[in-house]
Amino acid sequence: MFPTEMPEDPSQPMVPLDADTAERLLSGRLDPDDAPPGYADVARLLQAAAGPAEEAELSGEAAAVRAFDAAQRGRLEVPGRRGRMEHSGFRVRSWGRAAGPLGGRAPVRGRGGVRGRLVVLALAAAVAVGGVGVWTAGGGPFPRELGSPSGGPAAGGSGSGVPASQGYRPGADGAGPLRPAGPGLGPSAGAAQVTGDRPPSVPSAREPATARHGGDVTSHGGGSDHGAKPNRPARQPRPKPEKPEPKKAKEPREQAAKGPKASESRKSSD
Amino acid sequence: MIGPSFEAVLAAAADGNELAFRALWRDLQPALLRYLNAFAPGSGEDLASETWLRVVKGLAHFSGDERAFRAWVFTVARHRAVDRWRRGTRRHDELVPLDALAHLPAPDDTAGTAVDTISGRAAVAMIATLPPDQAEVVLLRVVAGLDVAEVAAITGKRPGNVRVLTHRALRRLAEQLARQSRVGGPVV
Repeated sequence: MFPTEMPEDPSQPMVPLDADTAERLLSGRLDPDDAPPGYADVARLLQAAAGPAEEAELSGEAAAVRAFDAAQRGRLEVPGRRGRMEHSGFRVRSWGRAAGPLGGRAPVRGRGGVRGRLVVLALAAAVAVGGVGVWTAGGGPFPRELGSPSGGPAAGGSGSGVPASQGYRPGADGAGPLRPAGPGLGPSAGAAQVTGDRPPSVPSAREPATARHGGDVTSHGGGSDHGAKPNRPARQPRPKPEKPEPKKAKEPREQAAKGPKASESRKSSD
Repeated sequence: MIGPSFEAVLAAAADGNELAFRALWRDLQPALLRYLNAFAPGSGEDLASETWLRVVKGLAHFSGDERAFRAWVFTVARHRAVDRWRRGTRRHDELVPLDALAHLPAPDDTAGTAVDTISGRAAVAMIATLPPDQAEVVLLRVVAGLDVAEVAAITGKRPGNVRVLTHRALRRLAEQLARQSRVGGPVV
């Protein structure tokens, strides 16, 4: 026993608590009248601490609900900057949710639903024009990791396209082993697998963006090093030198733009 | 506790249902505030808001029952509090808000020290006078309604250590209350 735990008044007997009594005290199941000597007040104190909510404690409900609504609306909007999207961690969710009304059975939720639909239509058009053969509004090819844009029949009861949780990964916010990792909705649930706070498909989402910028489209957005370079006029194809030049830094990009056939033909010519 | 309908409420909240979120919030917010105010008086509201923001972001990714949800929410809250403390805003937190002081009984106020009339916030304020590790395990057990294993996981302690801390806390509380009753007359 530490000196600080010595009873102030040695004449008053402090009955040692057994584990069961302590447990009943802590859970509020011990009536103060049945408490061991010296612990009746403790029982009352703990019951008061676990007592019903006071009015002041619920005074922030309206603000909390407003914040909740704002967060929900934010999920339906796709910010223009990729950095912000990654930071928000809602990229995949936004797509999944917003894509629902296009062909799935996801309910359109109030104002945000219409807004989300417009955003998705605009995005679908932009993506299609940009030449990224990844996704179309009509339910065209879709990355397997993202599943069906509509959520599909396997997307769960609501069909909302909510990212299938593989269960909470410990460490994301310190939940540690507390969060039992449930099976979730599986990979066919219309969304990517989730790692921690951030869907893991965010890094892979950079790939199509990079490939898109490898073509004629120049990005001015942040996050990508392409955006830092000024616009360049379209170059005329260089005449082939008789001797193969040493590889330059931008050669892979040009090859990527030309596609695998170009590189193959170049190899064969070499 | 919400009870058997928790899964449906959680799913609805994750789907953006405002009423479902209200239910979650009303169920947890008082306990969250009491827990946070014990360690950062005056910043409890802010920390609770940060906690809910984080929870809302993670709602769709959460899977588990109501107990696991409570444990998760309090884990998030604890991390917010620790982050705040590390950022050096502690000096601001040490200022106890006046409204919290208003609920504390005066030492010589016999009626005020009556434990059966003590408010929840005053009770938490008394628990907060314990050494921090003891106060935390008691609050997580009593206010958050978590069991030993969950508290151990949140605080990074072993279950046996949590039990020991809890026993010491209860004993110390009993001594403090006995001392108060001697100073201010009968407690009850």
